[in-house]
Amino acid sequence: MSISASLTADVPVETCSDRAESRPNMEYLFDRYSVGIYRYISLRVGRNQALADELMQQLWLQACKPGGVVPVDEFEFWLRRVAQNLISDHWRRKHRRPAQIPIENPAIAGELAKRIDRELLPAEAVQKQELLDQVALAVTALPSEEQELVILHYVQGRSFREVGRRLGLSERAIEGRLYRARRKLKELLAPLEEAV
Amino acid sequence: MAGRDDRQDNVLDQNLANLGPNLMLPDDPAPPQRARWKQPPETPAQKGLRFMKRHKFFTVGSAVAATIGVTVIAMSVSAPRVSASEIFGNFKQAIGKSIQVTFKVTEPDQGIDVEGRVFIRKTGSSAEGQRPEEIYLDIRVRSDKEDGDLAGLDVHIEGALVPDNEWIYLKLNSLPAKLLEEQPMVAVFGAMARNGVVLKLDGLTDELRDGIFGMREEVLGELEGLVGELSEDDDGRSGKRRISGLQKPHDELAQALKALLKGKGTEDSLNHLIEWLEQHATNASVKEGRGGLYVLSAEGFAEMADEHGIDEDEREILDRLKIQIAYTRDDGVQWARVDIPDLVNLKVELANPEIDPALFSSERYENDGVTQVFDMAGLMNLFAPQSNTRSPRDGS
Repeated sequence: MSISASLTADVPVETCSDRAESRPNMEYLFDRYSVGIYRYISLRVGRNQALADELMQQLWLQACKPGGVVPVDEFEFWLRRVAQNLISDHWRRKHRRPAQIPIENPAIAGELAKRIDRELLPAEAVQKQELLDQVALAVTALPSEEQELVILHYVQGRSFREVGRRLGLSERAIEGRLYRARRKLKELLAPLEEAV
Repeated sequence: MAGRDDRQDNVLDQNLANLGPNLMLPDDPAPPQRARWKQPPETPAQKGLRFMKRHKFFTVGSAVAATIGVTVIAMSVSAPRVSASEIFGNFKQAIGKSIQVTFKVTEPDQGIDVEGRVFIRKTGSSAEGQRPEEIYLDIRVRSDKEDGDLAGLDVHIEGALVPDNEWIYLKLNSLPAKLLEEQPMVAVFGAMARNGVVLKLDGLTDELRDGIFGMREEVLGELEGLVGELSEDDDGRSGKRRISGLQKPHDELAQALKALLKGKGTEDSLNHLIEWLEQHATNASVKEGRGGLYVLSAEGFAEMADEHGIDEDEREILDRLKIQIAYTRDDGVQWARVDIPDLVNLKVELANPEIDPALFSSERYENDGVTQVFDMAGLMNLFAPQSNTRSPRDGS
């Protein structure tokens, strides 16, 4: 997924597809953010692919609903909020608890999340499922661009140069964006940390 | 402060680098998967059709099995005024009696209605090679659409499995124009069967006959479909089984239901069934009506989907499923109804249904002067004289 392409931020995206010319704009943005949002949904519905696909389909329908106008730079945020509502509605309709990755021992996850930027975690700690699950939830909650960077660099182990080449950005730009991604990631891990 | 932030960021960076390769993230969606997100969602009817296809709801035998299976499920957990053993005692008796099933299945997109009835008359025969029941079915399949692949379809099928008198009556009132265009041979057969044909099945081997008219296997197959993917690596005689994709409790449930349908349910198999059912069924109530009739209404079967790996959309079909069972303490189960609004409507009468014995005979067609009669065993002899036929009475 290319994250280097950008649209002009002050051009609103019409989520409505009534006007044919507005649809390509919306569709382009949907495509751009959909993979990251799919990961977000998938983890929060217990990795149920059929259900995640169905919610993505509903997300697309919401985006196609007539009448909505969302600024380009808020479009992903808007999509994520709709996705969040779809997930909540789903579980409410089913009268069931969310089936997202179960954190078997939140205390362990919280403790490790607390230490994640304070000390080098020992090898056994970075393999703890509780921590891995919590970090996976946090990574998928990142905006698409940062999510992609984190996955390319930390999960796939690609160097700044490789990531930069792939995304058409300088190594320095990648470094800066990863720094911001880490800060957000830390924020996303904080609620669990506080709960300990 | 900045120094502390930088130090923390470095630590986070290193920790992420260490745990990153262990992260289990969802697979990236393939392009076709992404393309499907932008397709219109399935209508309830489409979902229902897919559900029914998957669970063979279109077959009559399946409908019987589904009803019986679900009836057992609902009965066993939801009738507070009777004990489980009483219910099961009654159920065992009930399936030993005659059964009448009427049903209507609708597929709105293609405009198809499948409507019909099935009678299963218990004979009590235990002779080797003889079925312990006689089966009659009568089905009409119609499409009311003016266009589409199946537009113009109107078929009437009747048949019976009766010792020494097994037959199928087929009347093709009209066939879809598209099918006739694409398959000219079908048109030839269609013209022949426009006034109706009777295919006499006596003398065929069990295997071939069951292939043509495999009611019993359909019943068992659907029952298996209801409880999971149970498959046997032989015909069940050696006792060796290959069971895939099921956890142990489901295996036991499958075996229990299968045994019940074969009339071989044991106390143990019933107990397995009861335990499983008590854990899964929800939203059931019993209302007492006149004459000591208790009508049990059960809904909310979506929970059943959880441990059977049934898709989310199929779960919605189960959500809409409603079952009613009428029961009296004196006479046991009277009838059971299964409804999925706009899709399936099915009623099973268990208490002494009045079944006209003449229905089981093909004589009315053989003597009407219009219907052609084909002796399938004779026809098969032309192709495989040694292997495909048996004497109607040899029991082999």
